[in-house]
Amino acid sequence: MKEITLERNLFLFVLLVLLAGALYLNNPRFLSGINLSNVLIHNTPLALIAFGMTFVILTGGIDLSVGSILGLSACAVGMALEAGWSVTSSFLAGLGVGMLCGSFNGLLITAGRMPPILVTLGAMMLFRGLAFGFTGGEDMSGFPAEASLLGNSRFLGLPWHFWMGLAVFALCVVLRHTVWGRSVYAMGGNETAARLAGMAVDRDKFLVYLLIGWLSALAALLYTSRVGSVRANEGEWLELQAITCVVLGGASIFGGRGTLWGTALGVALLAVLQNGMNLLGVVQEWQTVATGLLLIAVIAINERVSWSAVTKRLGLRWGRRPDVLESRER
Amino acid sequence: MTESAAAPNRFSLTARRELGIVLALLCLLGAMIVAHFTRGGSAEQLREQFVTLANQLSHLSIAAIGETLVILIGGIDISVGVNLTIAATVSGKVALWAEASGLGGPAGLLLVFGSAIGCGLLFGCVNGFFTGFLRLPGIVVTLGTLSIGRGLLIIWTGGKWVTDLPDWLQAPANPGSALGGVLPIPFLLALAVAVVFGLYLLYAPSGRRLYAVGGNRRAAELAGVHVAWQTFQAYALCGALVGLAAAVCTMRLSSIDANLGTGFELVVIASTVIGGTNIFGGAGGVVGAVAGAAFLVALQKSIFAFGIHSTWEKAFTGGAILVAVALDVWTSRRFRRS
Repeated sequence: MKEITLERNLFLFVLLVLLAGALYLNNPRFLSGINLSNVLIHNTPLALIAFGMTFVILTGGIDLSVGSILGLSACAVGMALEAGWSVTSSFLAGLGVGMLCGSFNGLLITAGRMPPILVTLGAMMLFRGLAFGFTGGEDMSGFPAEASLLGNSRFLGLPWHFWMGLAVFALCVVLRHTVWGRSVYAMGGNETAARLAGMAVDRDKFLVYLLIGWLSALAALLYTSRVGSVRANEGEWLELQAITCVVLGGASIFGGRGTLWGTALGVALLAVLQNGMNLLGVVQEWQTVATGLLLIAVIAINERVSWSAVTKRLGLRWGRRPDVLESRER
Repeated sequence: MTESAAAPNRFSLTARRELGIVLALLCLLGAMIVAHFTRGGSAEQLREQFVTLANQLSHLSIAAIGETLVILIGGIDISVGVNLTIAATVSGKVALWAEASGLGGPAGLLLVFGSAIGCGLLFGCVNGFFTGFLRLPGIVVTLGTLSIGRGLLIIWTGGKWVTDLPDWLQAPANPGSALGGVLPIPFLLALAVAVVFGLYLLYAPSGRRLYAVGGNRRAAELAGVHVAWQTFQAYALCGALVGLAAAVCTMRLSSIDANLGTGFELVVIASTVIGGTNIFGGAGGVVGAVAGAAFLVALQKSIFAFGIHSTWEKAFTGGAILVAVALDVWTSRRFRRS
């Protein structure tokens, strides 16, 4: 299992390095500090949500409502700021709204026993509709200067986005070494077995949806703070982008298989691809096409190419036991 | 699983599965009629409203029937919105070309419908190839084709609208030409599609095999069903039906823009599911899909009828989907994966 993940991630990493190398040779500006920090700032909200989505997909679920949670949280922050709340309490209110949305999904899925795809499909429209209803569909801007500090200032020479992303990425330790993290894998592999083994499947699953609600709200804060304005349709298509990143990162859409490392590579690949095409002057729409092609190609390779066979042929070894590995390859 | 095995009970089961949404639809329509008259509306206005409703329902229910086929085999197609936009744009351009080369009337209509269905079928075949023969998960494949299709469409049209659609195309969908004043032609078309695919699912061997594959893929394979081919067929048919829905859109609308199908896939999936089709496959049917679509369209209309501001429309649709799914799950507990 571990070795397979390593091989998949290695494949993605090689792809990323090749892409970055080609871009650098074509346009040395690609590796300049300004460009890299732009790429980072633009993609951190997506990365946060993709990390949360990894947890959700690992449990065998899916969350289509993340973009709408982002929109609703951003609107909550905007409305609180316009109502004269302090920046701190507005941001806390935004986080609170995100966590409420996450627990709403989590409760319906665990206590209500409803399928995640349907709950989050309904919630996607509900939350987006609430954002439109409460704001009346109008833009909000002109926030106090302190509100843009988070999104536009640096700490130790690096933007706050980087530190936030890093802090959330530290969840990979949680995923790997805590009871909760192992339970996430276990219920994605076989939920009944996890339940019979005495794991608190419902509680752990609820926490996963709470986590992604919180991360979506955090992404909303970073985004709102950087841009300085709020619209009700913010974060549209974000759920599809996040799922794309997770699947690019080698996670199984059926749950039980995947890593945060993989997702981070997936986000990086998507970000570099888009940035590279921007630098080359390729129009936005060709980027959308390329993303779709990349997604289908990577899933076809991940699902239909046996990595152990490939590495055996290439003579690469990771000190693994082939018999165990073959049985894991589907 | 048990549903598809109990073939002799197919009628009573169909009735029971879809009873909830049909009752909900009737209640909603009743409430709308009462609200209409208490606000002092006339019977003539009511008839006009129902013709609009039937017209709006037509393309949604055709697409929902297509999605039902895919969900029945345990897949999902989230690319229907893009497919609809592409097919509508193609058929719109074909209509303009037919007008320019003097092919009006029936020949022109045939060209428009043929091009839309062909275009949708092609898109569906691409989805079907990857999901059926390469056995890739439907949600990921259609997510990919969604991106590719959306990008290619905008590159092709440059985001421009298709406008000035000819009169011979619009005439059949005109509320004035509705049969008996209440049944517009697009709606009759949707009814015909519902009857054909209802019979297909109930009686045709390949229709029954869709239930078998969705109920238990492995068992179906062992029983000699060519699962890859059935999957391909379901996605291809779904694509073709979405193409037909696109032709109906082209007929009904005066212009086609690149955002025609944005969010359409969600409404289509919602119609299918609140109509009682099991999201994990193996159970469901055409009646539920049509009733679910009618419920969602009526709900959108009712928001205006009850005097609620339109900015709340999306919230109501989302809330209604959640309530419908929750009632369904809690009353039947049939979403449990066995």
